[in-house]
This record gives sequence, C-alpha cells and structure tokens, in this order.
Amino acid sequence: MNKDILLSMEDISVSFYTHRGIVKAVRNLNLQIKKGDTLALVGESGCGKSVTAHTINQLIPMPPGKIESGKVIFEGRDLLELDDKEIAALRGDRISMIFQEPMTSLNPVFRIGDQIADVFMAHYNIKKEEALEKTIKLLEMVKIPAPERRIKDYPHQLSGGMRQRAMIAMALASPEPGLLIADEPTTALDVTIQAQILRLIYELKQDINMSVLLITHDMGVVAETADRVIVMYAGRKMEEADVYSLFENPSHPYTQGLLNSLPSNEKYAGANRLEAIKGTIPDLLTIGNGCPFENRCPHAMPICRESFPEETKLDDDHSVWCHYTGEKDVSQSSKGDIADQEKE
Amino acid sequence: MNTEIKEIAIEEGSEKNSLFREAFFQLKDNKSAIIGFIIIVGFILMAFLAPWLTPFEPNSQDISIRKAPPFVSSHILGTDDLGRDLLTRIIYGSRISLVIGTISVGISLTFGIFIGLISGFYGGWVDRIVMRFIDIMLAIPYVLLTIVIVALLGPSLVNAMIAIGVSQIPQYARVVRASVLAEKENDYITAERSLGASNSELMFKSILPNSIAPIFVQATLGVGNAILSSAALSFLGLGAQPPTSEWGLMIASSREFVTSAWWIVTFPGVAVLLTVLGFNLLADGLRDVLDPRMKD
Amino acid sequence: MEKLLEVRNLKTYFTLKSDKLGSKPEVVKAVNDLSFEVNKGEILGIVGESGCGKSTLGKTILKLNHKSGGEILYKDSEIFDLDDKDLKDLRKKMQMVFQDPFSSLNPRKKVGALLAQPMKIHGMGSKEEIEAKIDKIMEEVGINPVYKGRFPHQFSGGQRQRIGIARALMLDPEFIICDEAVSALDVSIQAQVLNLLLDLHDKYKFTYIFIAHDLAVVEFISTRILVMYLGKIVESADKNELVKDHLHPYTKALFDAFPATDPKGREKREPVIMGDVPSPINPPSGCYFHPRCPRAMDKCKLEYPPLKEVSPGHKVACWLYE
Repeated sequence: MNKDILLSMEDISVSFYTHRGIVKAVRNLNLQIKKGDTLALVGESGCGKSVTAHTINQLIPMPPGKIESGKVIFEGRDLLELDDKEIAALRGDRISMIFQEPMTSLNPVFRIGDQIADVFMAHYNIKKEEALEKTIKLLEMVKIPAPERRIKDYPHQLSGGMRQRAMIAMALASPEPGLLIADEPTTALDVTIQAQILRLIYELKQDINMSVLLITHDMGVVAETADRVIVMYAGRKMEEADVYSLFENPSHPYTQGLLNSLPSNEKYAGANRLEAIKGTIPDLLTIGNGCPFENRCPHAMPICRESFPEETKLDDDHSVWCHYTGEKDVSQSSKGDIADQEKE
Repeated sequence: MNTEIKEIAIEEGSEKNSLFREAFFQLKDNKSAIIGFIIIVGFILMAFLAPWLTPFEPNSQDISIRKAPPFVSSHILGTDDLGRDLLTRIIYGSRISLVIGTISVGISLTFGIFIGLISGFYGGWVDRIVMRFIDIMLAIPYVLLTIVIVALLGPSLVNAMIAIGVSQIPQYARVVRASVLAEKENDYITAERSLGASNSELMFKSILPNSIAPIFVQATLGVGNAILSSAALSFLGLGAQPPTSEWGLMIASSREFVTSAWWIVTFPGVAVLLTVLGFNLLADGLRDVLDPRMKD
Repeated sequence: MEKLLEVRNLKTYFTLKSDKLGSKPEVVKAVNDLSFEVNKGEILGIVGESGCGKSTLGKTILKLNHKSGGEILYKDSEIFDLDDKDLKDLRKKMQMVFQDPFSSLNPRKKVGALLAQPMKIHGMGSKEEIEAKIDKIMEEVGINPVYKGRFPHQFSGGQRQRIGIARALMLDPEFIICDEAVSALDVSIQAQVLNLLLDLHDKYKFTYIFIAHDLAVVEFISTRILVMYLGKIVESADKNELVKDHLHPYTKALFDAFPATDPKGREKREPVIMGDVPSPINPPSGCYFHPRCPRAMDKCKLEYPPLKEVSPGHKVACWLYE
C-alpha cells in the first residue's frame, strides 16, 4: 500500500504575535497525505487544525502570524518558499479550499455559473461558452439539480447545501485536482444536508481519486469519510492512525475522552451520564512545554508536565504521543512476544 | 452523580480587565493616538494655564506697536492690527475653542444618544418618523444648516455653539441607532427581558453602555469639527463677535492683511490646524482600537 | 403526572416587510398549529433542522415573541393573558438558557452583577442574601465564586454557558427552556454541561424543554422527544420508543443522516434523503415533507395529515399510519 505522498508538512510551527503575547497555535507538526487519501485533522477549538490548513496555502495573515519553522512539500516544492504569484497560481488549481461558510467565500455579486467558469478559463485556454458547458457538467457531478438553470443563480439564491456543492464544484474545476482542503465543510449545515455533502465527498473520492484534507471537530464526520486521522490538541499532534484502528483502539487519553464525550457513543445506550473530560482547554498564550493535556488527563504523571512525549508506534498505522501510553506499550511489548505466541 | 462540581475555574493570570481597560492598553501602542493625545493635552493645558503663560492681556490694544512682525520682539508671534499680542490672543483663544468643542459636542451627544436610543430600541413608527426627520436634516448642507440656525437665533458665539451642536445631532443619532439595532438582537437582552427587566432598564442599563463605543470616535472628531465650524461661522461674521479672541474671528478680521502682515492670519490658522489634527489623530487611533477588538 | 405546560394549536407567524409596493407581504409560519403538553419533571426534547420553528417555539412559550393564535397555558393560566405583575411573577418560574455563550451575557457587567440582576429586578433579598445565593449557585454550576468580579470575556465558552445556567437558577425556577444550550460548545465541554444539566435536574426536580438540532444530544438527555418540521410536529414519543421505532419518514431520515459512530458503519449506510430543507415562507402543499419523502403517496400532496396517536404515548402525523 505504498501510495505516493502528495503533501508533506514537516516540523511546522506557527505562532501569532498579539498585543497580549505570543499564541503558539501549532507546534512541531508533521503530516502526510497520500494521493487519493482523505486525511482528517480532528480536534476542538484552539487545537490548531484550521491554522494548519491555512498554512499550506499561505493563507495565514502575517503579521500577526508567523511560521516559526517547517516546510510544506507539495509535489516536490516547498510551498512556504513560493512567492505571491507562484502560490496564487497553485491556489484553485492544484490546491483548492472549501470553507465552513460558503456564503462568505462565494462572491455575492456574480452568478455561480460565471464564478466557476472563471476558474476553468483561468486554467484552460478556452472561451466562455465552453467553460459554461464544463460548469454544467461539474454541477451535475456534484448533484445540483437542473444545473443549466442554476448557473444563472446568485449565491444568495441557493440554499446552504447547494452553495457548499457549488464550492466543491469550484474546487474541482481545475484540470487535475490535486488536493482539496475542506475546512469544517458541513458544520454550518443541517444534518440531513450534511449527510448529502459527506456522501458526495465520499463518492467523488472514489470516482476521481481526489485527495482530501478534512478539518473537523466532529468524530462522526471522521468516521464517515476519513482514511487516516490525526487528533490534535492545543497545537500538537496527539494521535495518528488509520481510521478503523483509531476507533477500534483509541490510545491517547484525549482521544478516548473525546470519543467518550459523544452522546452517540454506543456505551451510553440507557446510560444516565456521560464520561466527560474534566477541566478546560489551556490558554495558548501561557502554555508550557509539557503535554498540553496534562491538566485534564486521568493518567497524568509528573513527567507529563515537563516534556512533550516522543512518538510511540503502536503499529505501522497507528502512533500516539503520550507518556502514559508509551510506558504501557513498552511494558506490554516485552510480554507481547509471549502473548502473540499464545494467540496462535 | 458527583461530577466535577468543584471544577477548576479560569487559570491565573487574567486580570480584572473590563473592555475599557483593555482598549486603553491597546491605545497606548497606537502612534496616531499618542500624537493626537499629546496635542490635545497641550491644547487643554494651554487653555487652563493661559494667564500664567503670557504677560499680556488678549484685549489690550496698543496702536503704537500694531502689526509688529513675529520673532523680533517680546511679542513672539507679533501683534495684530490693533496692537494686541497675537500669541496671547491665540492662547486665550484656546479656551474659547475648548468651550466650543465641549458644548457643541455635549449638545449633539445628549440629544443624539437619546434620540438614537429611543428610535433604535422601539423601532416601528417611532423609528420611521425619527429617521425621516434625520434624513431631512442630513439632506441640508451642513454649513447652510448651521448658518440658518445662527441666523434665526442671532449672531453670537453661544448661538454658534448651539447651531453646531444641533446640526450634528443627526450623525450621532444615526450612529447610536445602528449600534442599538445590533445590540438589541443579542441574547443577553432577551435573557434580561425573560428575567423581567423593564424596557427602560433594558435601554439605559444594558443596551446603552454597549452601544456607545462607536460614539467615542464620532465625538472626538466632533470636537475638531466644532472648532473648525465655529471658525468658519466667525469668518462669516455669524459666530464670535469682536473683540473675542476666537481663532476663526481672528482669521476673518485679518483677511486684508494677508500680504502686508501675514502672521496675523497665519498663526491663528495654524492653531486651528494643529488642534483639529490632534483630535482627528486621536479619533483614528480610537477607531483602530475599537474596530478589531469587536472582532475578537 | 402533574401537567405543567399545555400548548394548544399555537401559531406564531411573522410578516416579512414587502419590498414592492402593493404586493402582499409574505408570511413566515414559524410555528404552525402546535399542540403538546409537558409534565412536571420531564425533559422534553424538541429536535428539528433549521426553519422548523423550534427556537421560535421556545421564545413564544416564554412570551419573548408575539403569538398569532392558539393558547399557552402554564399551570392552567394563559400566559398571554396575564397582567404585567403576574407576568413578572411568572418569569421567576420559567427561565431560559441560550445558545451563544458569547452574546448571552452582557459584556459590560461583571459576573457578580449579572447574577445579582434577576433578584434585583424582582426586589428579592438583601444585599447579603443575594451575595450568598450567588456564591451558592456559582458553586453548583462549577465556577469558583472567587471570580465574581470578572467580566464574561475573561471566561471560556463552556464557563460562560455555566454562568448562563447559573443566571437561570437564581430565581428558583420550575421550568427551564434550553435553547440549543450546548450547540456552540466543544464536544468535551458539551459533555460536561450536559452532565451538569442532568445533575441539576435530579437535584432540583426541574422540568426542561431541551431544544436542539443535534439528534444524539437530544436522544441522550430527553425523556420524551418531539420532532418538528417546518413549524409542525411530525412525531412525538417517549425517548426509548422513538429510538426503537421511528415511524415518520422524516424522523427516519434524521436518524439515518446522523454520521456513523464507527467507520465500519460506512458501508451499510442507508440512501441519503435528497433535497433541501424547504423555506418556511412557501411550504409545499399537503404534507410538507412530501417532496423529499421516499414513501410519498398521492394523498400526501393534497392534504396535511393530522397528528394521531398510534400507540400509547406515540403520536405521528403521516398518512402511512391512517
């Protein structure tokens, strides 16, 4: 299963310099997306998932933002080294982005058809009529009914779900869509519409082998669409795994806590209370160098306050950054050989 | 049953900062605000300390030394056509300008806030009537409006202040009304209503404090604007009357000396310029601070 | 079971201002002929998507909205007929927790002042009594009373929501409407607040109406559930009954649309209901759901089905069950 790596972020650290201090939004993040894969970055507010996504495209406002370190390698080039013109050429072509609020990312004074056709005309050398034909085909692909009529609509005339589909269509309008970055694409949508959009993204993934970086706080969305998952907390990567492996064997106390917080978790059928994680997310202004989850973790040890854990590889496809799990794993793997033999 | 009832509250380190104090801290870093503030403080100090800053009287004439040029004698900025020390007149003029600014803006603020608050809060036909009235007032060119009011009341400095104050009421009312309309929709107002708060409690205790931030910018600019307008009115003979040492009047009465005694016209003009600039710079700084803070 | 609230044929319509001269103004039938009861001690969950009217319903019940028809009876008195004094008294008994932790607290007031406000408005208690109560209630919701002097923006979203709950508790209410009270919170904080609401319910025997669009949350916390669509109730039943047996096709669609809790569930997904949530300005003819309903019959296009009880405690408005 050695698919090509499409995007690789290496040791990315992003901070924001505000008048109240330095907010360390992302620290030493490593991330890889393979061609055709959907990688989900999941976490709650302040975890840095959105900042990570915006860093790829150089969409972080600098100042107050600053990329303290790292590289973003896309198709052999470090995107952070590109100048404005070069990155602008990539945006919308090889790397497209869809956002949570489609109303604010579509230009309200132009018709949908024209906006999408513009993308075509920017990347191919074709005339307006041909671009509009391609647009109609694209709208069909994203299952917008009566596309020939829809191209004459303005964004405000479409519903939230339709606008999101139009955004996806715009993102796919380039000749060979490389990477789609979807930043909370369904958070603002009703659940029945969310189901439609997720289904659409899933189908498109199968049909055109689209690679997706999905940013979300919703584990349900992850379960529906992701191939691989990275769980982030307060700017750091806590756990990374194949999606099946993550749900079957969540190993970081935060991941476990997160899954336990979901009322839809099967363990709660008939239950009366949720197993909530105590405490609140730490202040990114004053955060130290230990594990950021330390103050909320049921397994916190003194070392957790001092240093951030190294990677513990539980499997080829499953890594966790946790002192507690690390220790557990080491002690288990020494028994592991015997256990494996017993399993046979 | 025993969930984390005694939960940890906020981390240490966050001081008891109201939004005002936070704004103040941001303001300190803003260059335009600092410069503007310094100019204004200078202007206010000048007004208060006038008698101690100059040995001369603003109205004491001495025809023998009339039209004395600046930088040569003890009359640092020279004298005007009636032999009065120019610098002294300018310094005393700052008092008048301060009064003008305060009173005019005071009038505009009081009525503007009240009208904007009532209109925005109640909406409906009250709002519609008030807005049409405001629209009418705004449709009349500002200078013309002030002139008309002064003409009705009679030319004098006090009437000029009233005229300026009144003609600015629509701006303030509009700004406040816009804020009120936005604040009104917030959940905390609904919450207070659901607790049984009366309309006047909601309007004056809750909505008003949250709607006046944009007014600060408006009011600061307004002071500068008032000084300028008063100068204009005096220039037209409708404001301060001689021998008041009001800057506009000083400029107006020295029109004829532009070539022969340029300092009599110029220095009062510079005073107006600097003062208005100071207020504008502070207003800019305030605007910068208030705007992004809202987005936070 | 003591009946606390009875809503009969409630209608709340909003007239939109028409832009064009002479054309008829459009009417949004946000709440369109709703009838239901809430018994003491119940947690009634109201679930539906945008435009279904659930938020308007909540506000109308507390007389924070006008009503266009029907009755709302709290302990057998019609709320809209009460005079000012009686209404103010009633306000002590019925409270609301709001969705947005950022806009539901007055940003210019310190938390202590915010919490003191309810009792001050009603002239209840001396200064010491009020302070003592504030301390007690802040502890109950899990915020250290030491932070009384801070402003809302100095707290996190979850903490602000707790303060909002504290505010609702200050007047010893009986009946609390939670209007999307956890929707704006992070998942881990949401769980804490849900637990808190349940703790308070057990301790003080409150009656809740819990309005939300998140079915999982509603399912977890409620004892009984109402499903709304475009201003009408399409199904209502005890929670366990509804989870076991969703009769109305829209209820089924809601349950199906819910994202899987496990990636293994991906393959066996039901087909997704297509079409958009319609606008409440121009609802479809007959049964509002018929354009999206996989089981629509001819009758569905013509006539709106009545809400009928098809098994004890389980009501549904659908021609399939006539």
